[in-house]
Amino acid sequence: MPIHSLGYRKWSGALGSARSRWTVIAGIGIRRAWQSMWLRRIVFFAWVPGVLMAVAIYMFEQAASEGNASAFMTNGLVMMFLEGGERQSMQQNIAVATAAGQDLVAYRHEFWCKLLQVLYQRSQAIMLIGVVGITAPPLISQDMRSRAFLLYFSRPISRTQYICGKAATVACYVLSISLLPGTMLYCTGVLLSPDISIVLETWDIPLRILAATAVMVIPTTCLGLMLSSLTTETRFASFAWFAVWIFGLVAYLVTSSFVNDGTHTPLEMLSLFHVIADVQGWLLDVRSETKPDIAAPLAVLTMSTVVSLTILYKRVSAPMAV
Amino acid sequence: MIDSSPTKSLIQFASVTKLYGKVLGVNDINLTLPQGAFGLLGPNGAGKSTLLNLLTGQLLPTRGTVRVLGRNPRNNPELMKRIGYCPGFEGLYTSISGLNWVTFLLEMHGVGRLQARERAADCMALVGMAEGMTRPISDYSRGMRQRTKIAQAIAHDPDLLILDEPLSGLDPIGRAEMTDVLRRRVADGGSLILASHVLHEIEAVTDSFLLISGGRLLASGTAEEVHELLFDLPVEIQIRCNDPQRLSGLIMEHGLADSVSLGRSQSGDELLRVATRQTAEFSAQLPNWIARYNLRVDEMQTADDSLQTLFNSLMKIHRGEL
Repeated sequence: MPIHSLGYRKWSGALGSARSRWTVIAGIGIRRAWQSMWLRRIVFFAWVPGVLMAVAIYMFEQAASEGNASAFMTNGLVMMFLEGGERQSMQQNIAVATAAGQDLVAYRHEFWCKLLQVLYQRSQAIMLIGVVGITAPPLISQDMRSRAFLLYFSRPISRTQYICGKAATVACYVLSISLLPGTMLYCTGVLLSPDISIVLETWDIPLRILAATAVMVIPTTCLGLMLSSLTTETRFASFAWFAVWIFGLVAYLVTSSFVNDGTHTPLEMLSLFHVIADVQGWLLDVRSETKPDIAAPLAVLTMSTVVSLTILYKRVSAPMAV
Repeated sequence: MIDSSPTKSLIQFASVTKLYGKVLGVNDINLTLPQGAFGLLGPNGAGKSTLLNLLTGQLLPTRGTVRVLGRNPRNNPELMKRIGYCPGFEGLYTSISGLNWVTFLLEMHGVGRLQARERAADCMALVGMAEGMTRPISDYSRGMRQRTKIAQAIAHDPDLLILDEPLSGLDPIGRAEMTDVLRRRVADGGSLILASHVLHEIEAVTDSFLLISGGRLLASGTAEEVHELLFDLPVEIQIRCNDPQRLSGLIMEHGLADSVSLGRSQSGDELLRVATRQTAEFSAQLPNWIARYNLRVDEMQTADDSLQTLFNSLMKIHRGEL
């Protein structure tokens, strides 16, 4: 019987490009995060609002092809997605237009964008808090705690690649609850419309979806990872993440009940929920009628992202603390 | 003593000092080592891990420069391709299997997924983990985790292996197996730096030593030279007996001790401390004295192991006390 040598063997395989190494970090992050039952639930249910809105689009296209604007306007399912003010304004617009002999399809672009805005602002934004709250806090804090952090950097990867890998982990899940349902909603609209030429009329919507998604993904991912890098205790990072949203929301509700002059107060700008919603509304061409100013929310998001990234990079690049 | 020249050196330390606030990690180390295998020997807290972390670029020296394979190790992914690091800490993701962990770390070197998995499986088998490699790391014993860490360090066939206490937590069979793996690597011409506080662990792999204590590099040399030093040093013996004054007189009368001192133990008992190079004669005489002079020895122990004695003596030599 031949006896095999099981001793140490030299290896000389080909190596891939250094540019794709962050994908390895992202890959294991995604696989590990997927072990969370809550994350799987959120990602699964993230499609439900999109599906409901697809039904609303179906109703719209049905009414448009039948020329029955009143049936559309009185449809409870369609109108439940629009807030009181928006609903009234749209109903008035459509009533005036149809009275003047205009077709309902003239409101297609506006209606689709409004639905997308509602999708992002109501359901997906809440899911976003949960998804980032589950995926981001352990990503760096656990590495620092278990010192896997140091094993990473005993490999040929740079700090930037490490951050990109971790950010891609969070971004992957945020995209799965934002970009995918949004795109699905748009594609459903196109498929349900009577004519494929609708794409020419709505070509900008996919780009708007992309931009609105970026507004959700980039600042939240940076913030989540920054909080994770500040501590070795995942629970502290999770607590800080949820606290940012809760305190922001409370600050917004308190100040907006006192100040309502159409401008953004500094305290209102603490609410990431509303800041993101304002910018998304602008990107989806659905401006807030009460607070049309977009410069302040844009500045807050940019500043938050830059500060988060700076702290994150400093924390990850800092020599080992003993 | 180790003969080394700066050309083609494995590592170079030039006046390297590392301070953790006010605590001294390593103190003014000047060292150049050629390619080869070296044992870094020192008691706990001697500065071994600090030295290794300086080598892997995880720590920045407070003063001086470190070069590994001619390069600065800090933030140097190119250099890390050539280094395999087995840390003294855990650093493992416990929710995934050992095989996946080693595969993941290999992928970070740019190895394709399938190749990485195949190679990881080979290395896990090499360290005796063929059976348990698909189980989650959380189910592993300490020894199995240690084997997994060694597997990840050698998997990418590095030019230099840096191992921090690689055999701690292993059973005798595991120690023998892992020692064999390391010995084969050394025989194949691989360079290695192995830190341990156990002399025979290092001795089994290499006969070149670096002795470190109190953050200072005290000596370097071969196993034979270390043993010569150990042989020449007095052994400190502590004796608790009913008449320490009489026993100390007898020892001095027979010229069996370099020094004798009387002190008290923590419990308040009188304690006789004897430093002797003639342990065999001392051991032969002691029963005779006990019988003849009606002595009662309640406890007898060496103050600490011989290695600690060696380090203490080397420190005294450095201070000019010996």
